[in-house]
Amino acid sequence: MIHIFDGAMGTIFQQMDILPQGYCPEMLNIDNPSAVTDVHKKYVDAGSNIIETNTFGASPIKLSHYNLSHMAREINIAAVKAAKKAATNKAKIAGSMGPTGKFIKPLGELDFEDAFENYKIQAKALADGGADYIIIETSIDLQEMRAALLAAKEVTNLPVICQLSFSEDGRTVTGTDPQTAAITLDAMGADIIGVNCSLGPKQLVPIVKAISENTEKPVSVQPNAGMPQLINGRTIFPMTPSDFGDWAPKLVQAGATYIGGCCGTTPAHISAIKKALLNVKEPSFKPLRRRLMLSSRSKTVVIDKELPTVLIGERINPTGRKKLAAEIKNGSFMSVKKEAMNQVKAGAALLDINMGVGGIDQIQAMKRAITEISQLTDAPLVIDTSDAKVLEAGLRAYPGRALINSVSAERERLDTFIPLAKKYGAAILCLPLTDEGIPKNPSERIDAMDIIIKTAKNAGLRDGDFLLDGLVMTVAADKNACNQTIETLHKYREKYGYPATMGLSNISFGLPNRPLINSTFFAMCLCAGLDAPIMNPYDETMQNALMASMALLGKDPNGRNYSKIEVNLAAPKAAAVATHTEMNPLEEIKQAVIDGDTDSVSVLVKKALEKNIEANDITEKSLTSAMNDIGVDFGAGRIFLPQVLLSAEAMRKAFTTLKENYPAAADSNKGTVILATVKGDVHDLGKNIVGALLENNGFRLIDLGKDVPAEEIVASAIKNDADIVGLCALMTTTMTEIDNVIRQLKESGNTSKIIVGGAALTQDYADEAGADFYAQDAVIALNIANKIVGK
Amino acid sequence: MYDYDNKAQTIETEPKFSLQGSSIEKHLKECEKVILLAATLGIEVEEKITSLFEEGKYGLSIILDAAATAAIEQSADLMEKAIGDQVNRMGYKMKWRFSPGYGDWPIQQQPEMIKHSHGDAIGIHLTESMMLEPRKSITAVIGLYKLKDSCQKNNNAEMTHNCESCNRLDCPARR
Repeated sequence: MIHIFDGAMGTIFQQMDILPQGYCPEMLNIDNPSAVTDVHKKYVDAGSNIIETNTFGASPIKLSHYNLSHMAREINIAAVKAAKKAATNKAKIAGSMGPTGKFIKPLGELDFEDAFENYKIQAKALADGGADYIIIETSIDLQEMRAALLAAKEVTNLPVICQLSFSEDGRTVTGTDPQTAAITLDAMGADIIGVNCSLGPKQLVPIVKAISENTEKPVSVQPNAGMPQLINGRTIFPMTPSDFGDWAPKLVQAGATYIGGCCGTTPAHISAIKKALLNVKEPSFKPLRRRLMLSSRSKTVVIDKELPTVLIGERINPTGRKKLAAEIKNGSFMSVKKEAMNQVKAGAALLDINMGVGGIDQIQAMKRAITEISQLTDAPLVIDTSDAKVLEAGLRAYPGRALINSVSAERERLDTFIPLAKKYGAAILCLPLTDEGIPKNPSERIDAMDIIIKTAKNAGLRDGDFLLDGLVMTVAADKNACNQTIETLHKYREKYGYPATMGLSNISFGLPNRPLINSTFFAMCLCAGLDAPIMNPYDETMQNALMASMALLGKDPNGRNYSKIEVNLAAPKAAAVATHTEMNPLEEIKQAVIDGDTDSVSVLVKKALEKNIEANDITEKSLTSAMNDIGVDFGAGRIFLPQVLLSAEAMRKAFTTLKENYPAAADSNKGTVILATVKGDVHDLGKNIVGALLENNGFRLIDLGKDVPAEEIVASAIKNDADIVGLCALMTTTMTEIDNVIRQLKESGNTSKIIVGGAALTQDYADEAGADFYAQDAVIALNIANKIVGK
Repeated sequence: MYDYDNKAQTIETEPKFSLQGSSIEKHLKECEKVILLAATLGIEVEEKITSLFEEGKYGLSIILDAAATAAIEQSADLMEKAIGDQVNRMGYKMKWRFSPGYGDWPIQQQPEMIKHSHGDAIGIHLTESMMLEPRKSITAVIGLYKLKDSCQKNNNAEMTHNCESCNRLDCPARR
């Protein structure tokens, strides 16, 4: 059945002229309930069979703007009552909960628990008042949506509709795409998932489609009446009822079965939908095979037997890493964050997070690690702990769908971890261990796995929620360890078809040359059905084994990527410096400059010099060439000023190293440039940026600073026999001094070329003032300077 | 807060402060009172920006500079908001803040702005060429007008700065 929601309420209240300035619209539920009922009635008459209560802003936090927080419960109950009067038996009532208007930490100041308590109060009141659904709507932040959904599920048994609001780029304000939203909310138990506000029906069609492709739950949509237009300072939604109605069948076709309107829609729009859908049948979709999908706030990762292998980075684990453990103990997360970034750079698609340090509050540590890492990278996270409290802290804090590492067939784990997985919509990594210990052979492992999967399914978990661990033992202690793991993987594939994981390195314990054993074992497991290894992503032998296996197993068709990756593999800094023999040294330096990698650039330059590469070649083929590429990318808008400056920093490091090791390099210079912010102006940041680029591209720079009198500039140009004089002023009031300086320079007979720049300047002004060149940004200034001395 | 004579374009300070230019005249046309505002981030952040650049940490330096610019604008926005709540209760609406240098309002009036907003008390001073120091500083005037029906229409548009009133046509931030 297709359900029809109502449309906008506020605009009708405005037309009725019952909202004095500064009056809280939700107070109408108490002060003037019959007016509220009247509006509801218009929609019921128009054909709505679900109407939304007038409680969008009636959560305690939102009501605090009017000092009405204490009235929250009363307002919500009254609102349901007012809706019921209009609904009679023709429509169901959805209790509306809108955003708090604040961002949850770390994006904002609001604590997750405060948001949760806020929505608990509202959801409970709506349920007690007699609502049939809870609808959480117009949410722009997945984390706030999670708080509201958890709250609604905790205090009511009502079906919950979760509607996010997407911007024109197809993401919510805080970066969530429709697929990620659908996967995260579906797993957490949302009953209907959808979208409202922000965009018109046309723009929402692809979003509805993306949601419906990623969930079997019903999908709802409530568009605005077109894209807003600002006319005479007022926001107008231009779409007429009949145009709006025309879109309804298309929205149904995209997968929506709950349709209504948001801003700018009226009862006429709703009856147009109703009419347009009169003979439209509910679309039927063949359910897709549920695959294992994990999500961060802004990205979804799929692990599946038919897809390429997914690396789970294992490095954020203090076990056996004394330095990391000590840091975490001291409350520093520097290395944790660095490991997060570097592992992702090295190719990890998921990050395992373990905070198992003795003597610390692991609950707090996990909460903090999850919060900080989830802000830093978009790789979904794996919460690795044996403590249910630590697990819950991590799951609560995580704005996405996490993986739990791990659930064994031990009674206590089953009892405590599985309900948490269900509640927070997490997937589980299943480890075939029982209370009796480690199963002796593959069929016993299957028995253990059966227990876990059965228990989980009884608790409501479904296909797509499981990642199976192959359980790796040590081959030095048991000659059959490898064979048993391989057989286990085969059995998993046959029996369940779920993806498999494992930590690999245990296999080689006690043997010499462990990398060789590890990588060989890895390749064998990939063939047997390993989909998501937990490993050190910096390990090049393993990465090579993976790369080759992908080509051999047909997951990298015809080895197409293989032929490219070999040279382009982006390993993290340490690995790159130590082992990247494939790239030629000049290329390496160039890449480091482009990446703004100030840490490795000196080492690379030294290495190049040791190999007797000419300083000149380094300057020309690495540094200048890098700067050219950067200039082109900057000009095209692919990179921005901070990246250019990071590259300049790397250039500076490279030059310093060159000069230290090769003093002759210090003498070579392209030409002398004098730079100054003219008298009267104190703005020198732009000038400094130009200076930094010139200086680090082989020019001899004489920076006279800011507020520099014309006489001083002229004297310096003559004394230093400058090739170029660069003048800058930011303001219209100060740029006239540029004319003066140029006049005095010319009068003195100086023949330096003059480049001018600054926010207020234009090419016309530069021409008028008699400058030779105008540069609107630092990269252009550098190009001009190069051209001047090139002549 | 001072009374404002919108006929004579004069703020009733002691001595009186006559505003120059037609931009500010138009902006304050219906206003009866004005608030003079001054804000600064102080000198430390500026020194840090400079020293970072000198150390070769270019990227960090310009990001700090940009953050500081955003911070001073935001602190003025917050002041505006706080003031807005207060003046609303007194029955006034607020025009968006206007600073010397906007339109044709000459920055030569900065000395009076600093004097009457008491900007010197928070360490703002001027260079010879009327530049504020520290650089991350703001002076501005906020006009207040009585709520009349005729004014209410455009409240929303007037609360915020808009690009239409700016004559910098090639600004990258222009919308």
